[in-house]
Amino acid sequence: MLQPKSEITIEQRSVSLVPAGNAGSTTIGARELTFQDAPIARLRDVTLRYGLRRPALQGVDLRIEAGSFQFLVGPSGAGKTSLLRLLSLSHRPNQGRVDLFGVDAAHASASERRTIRQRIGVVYQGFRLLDHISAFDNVALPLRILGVEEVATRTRVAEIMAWLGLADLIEKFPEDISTGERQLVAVARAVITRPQLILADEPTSSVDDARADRLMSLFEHLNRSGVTVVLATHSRRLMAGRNYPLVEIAKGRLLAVQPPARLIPPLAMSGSATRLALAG
Amino acid sequence: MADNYIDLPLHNLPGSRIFGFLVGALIYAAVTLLSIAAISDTIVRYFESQPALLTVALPPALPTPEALAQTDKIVDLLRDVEGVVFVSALEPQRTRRLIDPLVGGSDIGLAVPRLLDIGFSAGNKLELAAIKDQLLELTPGLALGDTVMPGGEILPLASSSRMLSLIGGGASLVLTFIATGLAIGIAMARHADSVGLLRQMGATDGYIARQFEHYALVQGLKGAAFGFALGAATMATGLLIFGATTTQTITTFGLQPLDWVFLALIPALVGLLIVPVARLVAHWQLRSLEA
Repeated sequence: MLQPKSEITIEQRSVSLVPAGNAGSTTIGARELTFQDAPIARLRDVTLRYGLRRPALQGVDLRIEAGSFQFLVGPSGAGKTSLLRLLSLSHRPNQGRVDLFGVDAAHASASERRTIRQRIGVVYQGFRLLDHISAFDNVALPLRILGVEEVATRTRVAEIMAWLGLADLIEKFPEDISTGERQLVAVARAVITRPQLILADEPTSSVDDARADRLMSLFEHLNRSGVTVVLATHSRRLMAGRNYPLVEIAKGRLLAVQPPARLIPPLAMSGSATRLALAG
Repeated sequence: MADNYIDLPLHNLPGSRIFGFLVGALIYAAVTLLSIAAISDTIVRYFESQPALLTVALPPALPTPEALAQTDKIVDLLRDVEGVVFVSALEPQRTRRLIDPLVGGSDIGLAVPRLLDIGFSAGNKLELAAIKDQLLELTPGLALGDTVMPGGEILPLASSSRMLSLIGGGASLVLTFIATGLAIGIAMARHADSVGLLRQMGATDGYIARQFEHYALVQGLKGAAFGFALGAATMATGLLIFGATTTQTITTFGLQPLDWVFLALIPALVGLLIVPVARLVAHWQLRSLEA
């Protein structure tokens, strides 16, 4: 069974998302994540089909360790977005089994699915911003859903938006800002609750290199503090020089996972839970 | 959950105000129809409280002591009949004035009929045949006139108007809640992507439903207040115009202070019931969507 979200949010609410040393930032404490021994996600022989069309995913086996950073690569239409949809509980597999946070997603109760979703931050390819509320309110949305107090919400949202260079856009509505800025807002919204798993579908596709690097540093920073990141991208520049595992997918089939995530052994044991952290 | 925080300000969206106008129109209809029902009810109650009239004609006789005693005896007998409110004998001079035009105004010492006016409560059915038989035993040749109901043709008209406008007003209120349910259903369908997004972020159904409840409450209350104000203005103006253009003392049958209080409760009732209706529909619709 999942631990209630409230047990982990107490610590989260006191921690800033913004890396130290940047404008408006506060100190980031080492974030300890306590997971069950199970990987954060486990897919076994998964097939996903939309209607009667050919399977978007077929026979996919994948294990995503807690605290890892993975690039999801493959040509357009390969099934990257479909895989992220399964991992974000947007869709149920037609066949096979998807375990998230140790829970069989297909048989999870509504409450369990809700708790899992609260632990996941998603950057959608189409951003999915609510057009009739401001950029600020879009970013604040997940915090308000979690019931974070309004004062804390405002502080945290202002902080992340300032760090991403969106301070001037707080009052603006999505339709009044550029595509790149909308993408940044979508990223800010995905990470604002400091989720345990971030699923990002082409999160840098609409921003310039400088901003792409800044976003990557944000994801990497979150990853170093224990957040698992799965990032679908076409950008070789983004992957270059980063030694993260590549999950390669083509025509709905998983081709390879390489190189393997380099996880250091557990630092300490606490009951059945294990602390995980990335090396380097 | 951050209570009262609205992430989907649905009332700001184009087309969303149609629901408010629809509620306004329905509440306007309810207020005017229920006002008409209240006025009709006042009219019905007024005339039902008035006695119906029946005239009894005793055979013509000169005002001798015997004839007067006979008249008194019949008056006493009629006063004992259940439902009779009053019995009054017309003065012979008045009867004469009534028949003078018929006999050419010549006072030739004719005996005149002795007329009795009997008033009985309109809601009470008198056993006229039994009464007549009883009276005929005492006074052969006695005749009963037609019963004159109070209000004449107005009473059945007011009675029908009361029933129809009550049904119409009630139907308008019921339609308001049906419209609310439909509007919430349509709003949820239109915002299915937003609903899906909120769910994706881990929002509870209660949190999502609250967005739609708020929308229904804001638009519903605005519409209800607008409909009430317009309906009340229509009725007040109508009563004033009717009062000014007719000799009838319309204020007797106009809306009473208590009627206005009840009418003013309509928007409050809408506000009170629109939220549970919206909640019910939102939860029902959310259940039908895959979680």
